[in-house]
Amino acid sequence: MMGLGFLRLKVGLLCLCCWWLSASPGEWNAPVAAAEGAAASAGGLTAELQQQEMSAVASICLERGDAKRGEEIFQRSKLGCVKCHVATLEAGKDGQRTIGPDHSTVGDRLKPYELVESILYPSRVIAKGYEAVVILTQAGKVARGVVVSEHPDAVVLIDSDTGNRLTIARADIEEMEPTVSAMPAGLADQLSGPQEFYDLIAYLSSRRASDLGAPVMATDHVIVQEVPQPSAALPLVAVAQPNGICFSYDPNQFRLEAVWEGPLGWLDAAGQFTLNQAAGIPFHIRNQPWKIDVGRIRFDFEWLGYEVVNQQVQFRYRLTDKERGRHWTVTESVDAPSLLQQTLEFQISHPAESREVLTYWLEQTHYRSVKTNGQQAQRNQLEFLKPGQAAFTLRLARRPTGRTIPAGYSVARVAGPVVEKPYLFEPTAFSFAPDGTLFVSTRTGGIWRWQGDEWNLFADGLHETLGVRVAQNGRDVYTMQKPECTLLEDADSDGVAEVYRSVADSFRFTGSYHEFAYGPVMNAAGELFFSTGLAASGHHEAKESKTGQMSSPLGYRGWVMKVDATGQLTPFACGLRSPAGIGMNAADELFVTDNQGDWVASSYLGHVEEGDFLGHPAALWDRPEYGLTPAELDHRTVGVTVAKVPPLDEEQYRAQRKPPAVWLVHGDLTNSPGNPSFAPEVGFGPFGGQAFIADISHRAIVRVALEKVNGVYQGAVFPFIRPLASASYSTCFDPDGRLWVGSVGRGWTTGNPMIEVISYDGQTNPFEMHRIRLTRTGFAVDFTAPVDQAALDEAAISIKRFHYLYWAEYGSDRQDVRQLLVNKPQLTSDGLTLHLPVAVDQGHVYEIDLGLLQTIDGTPLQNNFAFYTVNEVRQ
Amino acid sequence: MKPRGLVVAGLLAVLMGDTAQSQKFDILVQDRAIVQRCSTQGLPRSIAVGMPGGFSYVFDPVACRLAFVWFGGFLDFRPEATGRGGGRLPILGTKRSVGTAESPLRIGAADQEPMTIEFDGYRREVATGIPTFQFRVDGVPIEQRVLSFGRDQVTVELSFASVGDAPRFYCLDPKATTGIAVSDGVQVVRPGVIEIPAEESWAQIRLSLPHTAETFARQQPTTNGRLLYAIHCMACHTLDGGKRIGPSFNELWSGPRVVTRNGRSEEVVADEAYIRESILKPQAAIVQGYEKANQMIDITQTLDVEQIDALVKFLVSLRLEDGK
Repeated sequence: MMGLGFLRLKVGLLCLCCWWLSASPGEWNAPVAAAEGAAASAGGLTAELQQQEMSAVASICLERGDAKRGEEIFQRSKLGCVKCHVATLEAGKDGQRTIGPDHSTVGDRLKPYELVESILYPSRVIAKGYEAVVILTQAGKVARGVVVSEHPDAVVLIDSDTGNRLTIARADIEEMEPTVSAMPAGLADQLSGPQEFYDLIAYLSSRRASDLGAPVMATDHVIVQEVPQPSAALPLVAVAQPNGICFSYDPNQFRLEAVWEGPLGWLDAAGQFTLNQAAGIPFHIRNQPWKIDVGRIRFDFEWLGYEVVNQQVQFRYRLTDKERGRHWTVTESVDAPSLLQQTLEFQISHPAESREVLTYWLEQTHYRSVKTNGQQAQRNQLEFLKPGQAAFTLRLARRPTGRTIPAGYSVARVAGPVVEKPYLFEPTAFSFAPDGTLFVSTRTGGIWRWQGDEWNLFADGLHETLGVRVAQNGRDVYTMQKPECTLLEDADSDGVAEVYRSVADSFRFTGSYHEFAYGPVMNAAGELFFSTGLAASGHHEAKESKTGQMSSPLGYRGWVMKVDATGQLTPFACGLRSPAGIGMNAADELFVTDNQGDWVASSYLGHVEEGDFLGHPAALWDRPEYGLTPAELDHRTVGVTVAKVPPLDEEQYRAQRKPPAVWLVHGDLTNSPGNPSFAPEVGFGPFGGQAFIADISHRAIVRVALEKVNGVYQGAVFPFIRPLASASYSTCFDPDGRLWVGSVGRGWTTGNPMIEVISYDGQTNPFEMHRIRLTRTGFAVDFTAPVDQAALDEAAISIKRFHYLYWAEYGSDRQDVRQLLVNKPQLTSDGLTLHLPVAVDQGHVYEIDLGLLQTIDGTPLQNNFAFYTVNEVRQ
Repeated sequence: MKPRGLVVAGLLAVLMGDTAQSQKFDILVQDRAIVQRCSTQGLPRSIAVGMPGGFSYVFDPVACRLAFVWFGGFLDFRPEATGRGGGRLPILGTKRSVGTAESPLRIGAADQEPMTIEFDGYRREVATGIPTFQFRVDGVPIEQRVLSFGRDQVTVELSFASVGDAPRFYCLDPKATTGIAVSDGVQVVRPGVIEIPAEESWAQIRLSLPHTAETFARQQPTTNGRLLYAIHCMACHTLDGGKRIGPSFNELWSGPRVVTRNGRSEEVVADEAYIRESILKPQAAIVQGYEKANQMIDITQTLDVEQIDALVKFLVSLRLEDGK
C-alpha cells in the first residue's frame, strides 16, 4: 500500500492570518476568511499594516496623512490606481469604462477603516457591481467582466476589456468562474513607507461630493440632464424631481436604472457635471425588459425619444416583433413620491387584433411589494399584461435600504474549510454535539466537522446531503442522502467516520434532480423523521392540461417518513411538494417548510402529525387504499413503476387537507425557505421558543411566533434580519444560542457559499413585535419594549385581509384583498401590548402593518409588519 | 480461514501510465480509494468506487451486486457541481459488464432467487479508503470487496460472518467473462455458478473480462490558452496596448525591449524563451519602467506544464496574428 494517506490530510488549512470580526468583542472569536493574508509579501508594508487593527490604522491616517500628497500618490502611474479608478465621467470622455468603482466620492461611501481594508485586502470586500467573472462560452469565446445582472436564461456583464455590455445566454455558457478582485493585493508594498499610505488614505477620505462643484437640485420644476455613457450610443437620462427624488433611465436598455434622494449630481466651475451615481438604488429591471408570451418571441427595440409633459418625463420607444414585424409603441413614465415608492406607468398602443400577452421583466423579490393592474407571475420575475392591455401600471414599494436587524443582534462570518475540487462547501445543514462540536453537511456530499476552530472532513462521497443530525451518543452522525438515511459511525472517535451504515432507503428514488430528501430530525425517544420532495416527473394524471406540475413516481415521495428506534421505516404524513426544511421544537413537535408551486399557494410552515395530508395530492397514491405502494418497499419494489394510477377524488382530499400553521407569504417574506430552527429559551434574546427560517431568494431570516387556538397551530411571521450576505438556506442554534446560517452557491439563486452566525449581545432590548395573539375581539400585539402612546396616534396602522387559492396552478395570488377597519387600537398602560379590535375570519391571512410606531425614547419599529394566519378563531 | 494474498491494485498505476488526465470537475483518484454515491446512467442509486490506479466500479445497493466496472478515469462530477445539481455522473471510461444483471448471491440453492436482500452499508479501511460492502441475503450477513489486479481483471471477495449451514452460490452470466478463477475451497460447479461451501467463511472470485484494445483517453486539462490568459493574466496585461499593472502584451512585439536583470539593463527580444521565463521566473527580468510595479504572482502554482505550454503558445500566437 504505497503512499496511502489518511483522510485527515484532506482537512482544510485554516488561514494563518485571521482576525476577529464581531460587534461584541471578546465574546465571539470565529476566524474570518483572510485569503489575502497569504498574498501579501512577507515583511512588506502590507504585511506590517495587516498586523494592526484597521480602525487604528485609519485613525493614524486621518491624524498624520496629508491629502494633497495623497493625491499625488494616487495619480502616480506606477501605482496604477488611476488606470482603474477614475471619476465616471472623466472615463466617459475618452471612451473607457472604469474597471474599478468611481473614486470621486469614495470618502462618502467608505469609512476610513474600510478604505484601509480595501487596499490591504482587496478581495475581501469587492464593491457591489465590481465582482468579476470569466465566462467561457460553448463556442470557445472568453468574456471577462463584471456581472451587472443575472437572469434565469442569461447573464449580463460589462466586458472589462471593451466596456461593452454583453448579454450571454446561459445555454451558451460552458464555464463561469469568479475571479479575485482585479485590484492587486500588496499595493501598499509599492509605497515608500507608512507615511505614503497615511497620505493616500487621507486623500481618499477627503474625496467627498462637496469637492465636485455645486449640487444640482430641482426646486420648482423637473431637471433633465443627459449623461454620456462610455461605450453606449445614447446618454443616460437623469431626472431630478422637485420633491428631491432623482432617477435615471437608460435609453439603450429601455429601462429605469436607479432612483435616489439628494442632488442629481454636481456641476463644477468648468461646467463639468458629475452624476450622483453612488447614491442610486437599482430598479432590478432586465435590459430590454419586454417579451411576448414569456420569452418565446423577442422584440426589436427602437428608441423614439423623451419629452417633458406636465412636469413628468415620458420615455417613448417602439417594439417590433421579430417574427411578424408588428409594432407596439410604449410611452413610459415614472412617479417617484419617495425613495420607497415609485409607480411606473406604461401606455401601450397595440397592433390591430393582437391578442398576445406581453411580459415585463422585473425582479420582484427586491421589493417589499409590487402591485400591478396586469397579472402578477408567481415566479418572482415577470409581470404579465392582459391581452391587449393598453395601460399597465407597476406600483413598487421598496424596503428601506441597508440592513434591517434588531438592536443587540450582530452577524459575523465564519470561514469554511478549504475544499478540494471538484467538491464545494455549501452548508445545507448544521448539527451540534453536546460538547459543541459542529457537523455540517454540504450539497456535494461531504460532512465537515468543526472543533476547536479547526475543520476536518468527517465523511465524504455522499449523495447530495441536505441534512445532518448528531446521534444520541454524541459521536456518530445521521445524514440524509438523496437515496438513503445514513448513520456515519466513528467508532474510534478520531473525528473521521469509518462505517457508513444504511438506516433507511426503502423509498423511491428515480434520479430526478428534484427528488430531494431532507433531515433527519430526532426526538427524545430517538425516532428519526425525514422528508422527501416530489419528482419533476412521474404520474401526471392529476394535472390534466397543466404542464410543469411536480409529481410522484410512487414510493413515498412527498412524504415525511419515520424511522423508529428499532430501525423500522414507516410513512408518517404526506402531501409535501418541495419540503426544503424540517425541524422540531423543544416539545418534539415536528414542522416542515414547503416551497410554493402547484397546490402550494405560497411557501409555508406546517405542523406535521401522524397521518396528516398537507396539500399536494401526488403523494396520496401511496396511501394503502389505492393498493399501489407496499407499506414497506424492498429490493423488488423500490424500483417498480406503476403504469397507471386511478383518479383522485379532489373533494375528498380538499376536505382532508391540513392547512399550514403559518403562510410564509411568498414575495413579501420568503420565496424559498429552508428549515425552521427553534430558539432556545436562553441565549437568543427575547425570542426563545420561536422559529427562525432563512430564505434563499430574499437572503433574509424571518421569525415565526406560533400559538395554539382550539388545539391548532397558527401565528405570525415577522421579518427579522435582511439582507444577509448570501443565499441563506440552512439554520441551526448552537449550544450558546447563536444562530448559524448556511448559504448555498448554486441552484435557483446564485450566491457565495458561506456561514454567517447571528449572535445576541445578551443585554440590549430590541424594539420588536414579540408575538401576535388572536383574541376574541381581534389581535393583540405584544412588544419587547413599551410603545409611545403619542406615536400610536400618528402611526397609520393598517390591517389587510386576504386568502389563497388551493389549486393545481403554480402558486396563488392573494384573493379578495380587503383593507379592514381597525376600531380604535388600545395600548395597555405598560405600553407593551397593543389591542387591535378587528373582525377576524377563519382561513385568512392578516397583514398587520404598524407603520410608524416607536418607543417613548423615539426608537422606530423597523420590522413594522407581520402576517398572521388564522386557521381557527377564538370563541 | 484468513484472507490470502491481498494486494491493493497499485500496480495498475504503472500499467496505465498517466493517460487519465484531469478535467476541472473530474474526481481524481490519487493514493486512496474514493467512494462517491451518485446517479449513473440507468442506476439512480449508485455507489461508485474509484481505486488508485484507474480501476473503478459501481456497487448497486438495491440488488447488492457489483453492477459494472471500468478502467480509466473515475467520474465527472460536473452534473452535481454545476447548475441545480442532481445530474447523472458520466463515468470516465467504458462500462464493462461483469455478468450480474441481478443479485448474484443465492443461499442454499443456485436456482433459488433470494427472498430478501438488505443493504446495511459499508465500512472504509482507514489507511486506503477501500470500502467493504455489508448486506444480508435471505438474512445471511455478507461482506464484499472488489479489487483489480490488472487490466481486464476483477476480483470479488466475499466474507461471511460465520460458518453457515447452507452453501452459498455466486451466479453470473458466463458470457461476460473469459475465465473465472476461485480461491481454495470454492468451486465453479457449472459455467457461471460458483459454490461457496457452508464451511468456508471467505471466497475470492477472479473474473477475466474479454480483452479490449480500447484505452481510455481523458481530454487534456484545460489548455485553452485564451481562457488561461483571461483567468490568469488579463487583470494586469492587456492585449491592445492599454495600460494596467504590467506591460501590455501588445508591446511585446513592438521590437526589442529593455529589461533589468540582476540589476543591469539588458535588451531582449520577446521570443518564446523569454515569455516562458517571464512566467516561470517573473522576477528574473523586469521590463524597464515596471521595476516598482506590483510583483507578478507565481502562476506556476496553479497551472500544470501543459497549461503553461498552452499559455506560452497563445502569447506567441499573438505575434503571428499581428503579422509582425
